[in-house]
Amino acid sequence: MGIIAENITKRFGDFTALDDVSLEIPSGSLTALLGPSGSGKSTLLRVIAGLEVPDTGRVVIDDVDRTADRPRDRGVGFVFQHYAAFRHMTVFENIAFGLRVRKTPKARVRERVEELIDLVQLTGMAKRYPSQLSGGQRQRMALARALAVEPRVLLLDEPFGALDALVRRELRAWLRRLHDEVHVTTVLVTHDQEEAMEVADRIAVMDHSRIEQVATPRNLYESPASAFVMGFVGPLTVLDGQQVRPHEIALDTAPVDGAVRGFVTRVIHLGFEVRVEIAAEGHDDLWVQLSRHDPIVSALGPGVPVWARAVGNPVPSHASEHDDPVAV
Amino acid sequence: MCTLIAVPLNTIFGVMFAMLVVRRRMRGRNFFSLFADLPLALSPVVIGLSLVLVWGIHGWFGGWFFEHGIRIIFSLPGMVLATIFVSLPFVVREVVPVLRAVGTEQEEAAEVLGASPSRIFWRITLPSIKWGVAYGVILTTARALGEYGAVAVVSGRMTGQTETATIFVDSQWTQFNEEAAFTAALVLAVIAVIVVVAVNLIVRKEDIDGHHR
Repeated sequence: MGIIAENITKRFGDFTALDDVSLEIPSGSLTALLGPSGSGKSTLLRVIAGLEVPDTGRVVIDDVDRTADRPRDRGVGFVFQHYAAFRHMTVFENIAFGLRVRKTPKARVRERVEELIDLVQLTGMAKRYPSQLSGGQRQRMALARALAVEPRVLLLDEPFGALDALVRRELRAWLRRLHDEVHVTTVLVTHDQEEAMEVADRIAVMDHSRIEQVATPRNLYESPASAFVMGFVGPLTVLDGQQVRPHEIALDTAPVDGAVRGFVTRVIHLGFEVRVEIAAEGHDDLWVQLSRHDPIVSALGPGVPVWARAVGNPVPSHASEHDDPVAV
Repeated sequence: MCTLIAVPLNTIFGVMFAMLVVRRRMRGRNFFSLFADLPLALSPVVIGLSLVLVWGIHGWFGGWFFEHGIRIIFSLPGMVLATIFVSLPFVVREVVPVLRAVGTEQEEAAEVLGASPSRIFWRITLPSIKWGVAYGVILTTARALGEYGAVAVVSGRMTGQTETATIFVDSQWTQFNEEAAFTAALVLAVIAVIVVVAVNLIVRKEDIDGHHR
């Protein structure tokens, strides 16, 4: 059930976009493909949709091998980063497009489109053109258009990438609620770890044309399989040559056994979070994340001597085998 | 007459050509796009002479047609061919950048929604490039009406039979029929002005559309 991608390889000329990638997506789940740009996540999504033909491997959707099928026969819904709205058609016509292609009776088309317009909260905007909608509204229209034909799977390619931060946050929460209502198997491509963590049940982290790890958001954060995953799903800093999460460091203003001595170079107040940058003696510079309620915060300022020690779980030993982590 | 036949044909060729160059990942498409520019670089007289060479009675294909009773050079088919060749680049040149700018997302979206290739072309691609096509058609019309060199060579300039407006102007003028020459020239000039105004209107319309993107 769901989607199975097996041993997918895809090359564009000399560039290998997907290198023997296998992934299973359970039916009814919302899975995020997370990774930096160029990691192959969009290509994998397009291979599932049939918009790219893989060089090797197969794609199975709901137990049917779809590798050789054209996109229009696969029963997928696809939402593009830049909406791909049909510019010369109204909202109604956009959403009705897939139904009309399937020769759905007129009355049924009207009924279904109106239902979807309500579902994506565009009530009263049926006669508008895409140019008269905001970015967020356009993307909701695109989502309704994809859902109209009752696809087996819904594929979203950086759907909120072109929207501003506030609208993004709103739409994310809305998408999660929508998924809980509609239950269609959904794959979301994103480069934003917060977005993936917030929306998805499962996250597949991709890097360099391969899948690094597939896990729930919580497991991904707590037991990353590699230094890359660890660096990608949360901030990292270096203490005493070891990679640690910046909130898992304790600071003292008096000497402590085994702690690294240094001086505060800067204190940054970010609302609830307070970020302290420290020049450590004989070690790399580091930074520490504190809450504003931490009593030590009032004692900190540039030039104050501090002693830093790790208090969190040690980094998994196999994590250091990989490349340098990406700073976030 | 030449224009009436050549413009619709060139519209179809031009759009097909542009689709081929922009949308297909095929070998030699750069060569094809160069080929579309060739008539701009060649002198129309040279184009006329090459057509005579190929389609004339002693040409590569002309001989076969002549044996079957079809005259190409010194008659209408030759003149239409010349006009098509000379004005071919205009639709292509206008449509190619528009096709590139529109991108493939809308077409892909339609494909995923189940539309057939022909439906995608008529319902999605064509409506989004229609202003580029219109602009190209107008320029093609202008060029086809104003063409002299290539057509003059292949037509044989038989008065009243294989004569285009520009050839008529020239022959009346050389025969000191100034009144007729100027009248015909004026008609051509008026058409030219109308064309330029139409092009401007389209460009403005495109700008307005562009703001809504």
